Amino acid sequence: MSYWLRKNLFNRWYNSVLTVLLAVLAGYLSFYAIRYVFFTAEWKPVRANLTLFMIGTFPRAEQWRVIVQILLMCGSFGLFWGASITSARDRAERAGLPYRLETGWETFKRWWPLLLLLAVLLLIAIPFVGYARLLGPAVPVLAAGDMLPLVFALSAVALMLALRYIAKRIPGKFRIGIWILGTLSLIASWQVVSGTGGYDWLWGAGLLGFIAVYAVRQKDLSRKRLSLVLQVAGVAVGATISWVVYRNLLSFGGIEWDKWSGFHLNLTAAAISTIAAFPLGLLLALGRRSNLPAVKWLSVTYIELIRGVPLIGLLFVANSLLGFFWPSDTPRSQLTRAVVIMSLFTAAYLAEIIRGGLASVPLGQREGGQSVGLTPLQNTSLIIMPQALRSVIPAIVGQFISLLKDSSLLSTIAIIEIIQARENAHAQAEFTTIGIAETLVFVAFAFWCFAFVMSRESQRLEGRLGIGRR
Amino acid sequence: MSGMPMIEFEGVNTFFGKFQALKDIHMSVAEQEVVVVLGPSGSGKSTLIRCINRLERHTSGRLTVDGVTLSDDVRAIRHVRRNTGMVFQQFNLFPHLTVMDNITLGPRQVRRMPKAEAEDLAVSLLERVHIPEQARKYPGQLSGGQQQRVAIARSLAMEPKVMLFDEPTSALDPEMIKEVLDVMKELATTGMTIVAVTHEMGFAREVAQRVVFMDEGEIVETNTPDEFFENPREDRAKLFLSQIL
Repeated sequence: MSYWLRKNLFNRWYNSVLTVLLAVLAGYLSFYAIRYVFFTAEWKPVRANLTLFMIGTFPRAEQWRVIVQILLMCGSFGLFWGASITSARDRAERAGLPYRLETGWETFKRWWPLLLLLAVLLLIAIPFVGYARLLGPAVPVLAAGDMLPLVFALSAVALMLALRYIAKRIPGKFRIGIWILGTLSLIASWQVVSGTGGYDWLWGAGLLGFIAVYAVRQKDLSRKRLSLVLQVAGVAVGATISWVVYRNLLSFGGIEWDKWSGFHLNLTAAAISTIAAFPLGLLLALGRRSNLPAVKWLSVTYIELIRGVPLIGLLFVANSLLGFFWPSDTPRSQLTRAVVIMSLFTAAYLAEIIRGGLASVPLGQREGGQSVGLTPLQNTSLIIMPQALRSVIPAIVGQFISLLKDSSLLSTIAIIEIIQARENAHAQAEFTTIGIAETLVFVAFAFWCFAFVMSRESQRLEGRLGIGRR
Repeated sequence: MSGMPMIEFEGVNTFFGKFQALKDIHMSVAEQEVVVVLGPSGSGKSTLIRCINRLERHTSGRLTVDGVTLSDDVRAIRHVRRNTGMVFQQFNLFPHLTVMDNITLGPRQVRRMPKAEAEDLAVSLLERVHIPEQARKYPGQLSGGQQQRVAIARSLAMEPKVMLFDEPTSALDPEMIKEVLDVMKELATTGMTIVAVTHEMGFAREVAQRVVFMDEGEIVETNTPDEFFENPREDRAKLFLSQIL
């Protein structure tokens, strides 16, 4: 220990000076930070409005939907987690590479901000004895209902860990079932809030179609045309089943997503834009590198046009802008329009990132594919794109992090996401002047927790996909 | 098929912008023939071999491979690429796929071979290039010589009629060159049509039926290996041989 100190912190006179100076600075900052958080800060507006921050104006009587949603998401997350552990292990074993299950501590080092956020939320939600101020008046008795958030949080975590445990032990042959179950649970987690109806059957159609195509591919028919016919038929049958199920058998109401709000909405809007932006960005990147002049210039124009304008400006003109491209008699909700704009915006940036990745793949890779007779499409999708994407994962995740943070701009067009929810909290008579900074600190903390976990996960992914690349 | 050349260049010219890389090439390669292309760097030998499977586009003249005349016609290119294998100086293996997947990719995607059959084929090819135990590894885990042998197996998996080698040993450490050359020699004895650009004179002498010497985009001399190395006709060939031998 003393050796380490001497070697790293006090090995030169200037290093020693720096160490002392930084230690003083760190001590000074942490003293004020701790004093602020635990003693001087006025957290009352946050505590009184926690629900407002988290789900905004979402109907209070329907809160259970969000709770079930979180449980379902934890469930599918546990399934995905467990299945990916085993599949990584199997892959490494097959390639003869060493595999080591990561320790709980390593997982914790990536995920602790979310646990911290959970702890903070629980601390705020449960009126512990003497909690308000460390020296304030004690609340003598906790009502039974006060512990509900804790019960909920513990059961969500327990569910996730239990499903991870099970999924880890499912043999490879059935692992595809785990992935499907996880996806199903993810879809359900959306529908439990939004209800079914409209185009929701497309979710199920997509999933069943995937299963059909996967099953036919597994059979590995040498007759190409028959295989193709079976795949198309499978997708058609899947879509029909999904349509019947969602439209007739399993239709239930919910809260339309225009009515979602608070931090719940920030996360949802960012997630949806992420999913929508990715394929579009991919196509734009390919389009920009295309040999066809029309496709190329269309892509370039789109990318440069969007990248040259601030997102906030695009959001303001969302109404009229979308009218150009997407004329419709039925008015889209404000939120749908905004999310479409966020997706279009992110796609332009993604396209540039992916284009960089494509350029980094050596020319010889394409030639290697050509020499074994791959068509340009096969070459791009099987050889070039997988390598291009893995080299730009950090940049892509960075883009998604900024998308999450940019979702706060929705406040400027009167959508009640977390920043606007905070405004509303301070519109209440008792909080017009107090805790202005504190509520912002809380909002920033919530964003930071998610952004940090995303960034750490991307680092891990980068390392894991580096397999075999030297 | 005998008598009909597998590859035929008739007055082929290739330009890169204003630079002429190939000048009026006339050459034909018979079935089962092994031809080694020699020449100083920049002489156009790589361009020549890359024209055969259309990795480079020739500007004028007529180039016929396996009875199909190469043009911008996609079907012609596809036919030629399906029936020619190519081994590159830099291996160009796919680093994100295992050795097994590298080899089965072509058969499965292009020839629509069922997975099990493609994998059996891959295993037998890996045995043929003497590395059956590496099937589940990634290219990055192998030595250069092993990678090049995987690349040969990958090309053979398409069951090509012609194998093209573009300086296959130039990026290898000396101790690994032999293992690759041995595989190439074995391949030559099976009656494969081979066009190879290489600086390995031993290989040329031992295996080639013909040596083609190029300089500045032209074919300067075509000769049997013995004649070429002992008794070159052209001054430029003499100069080249005096520099490398």
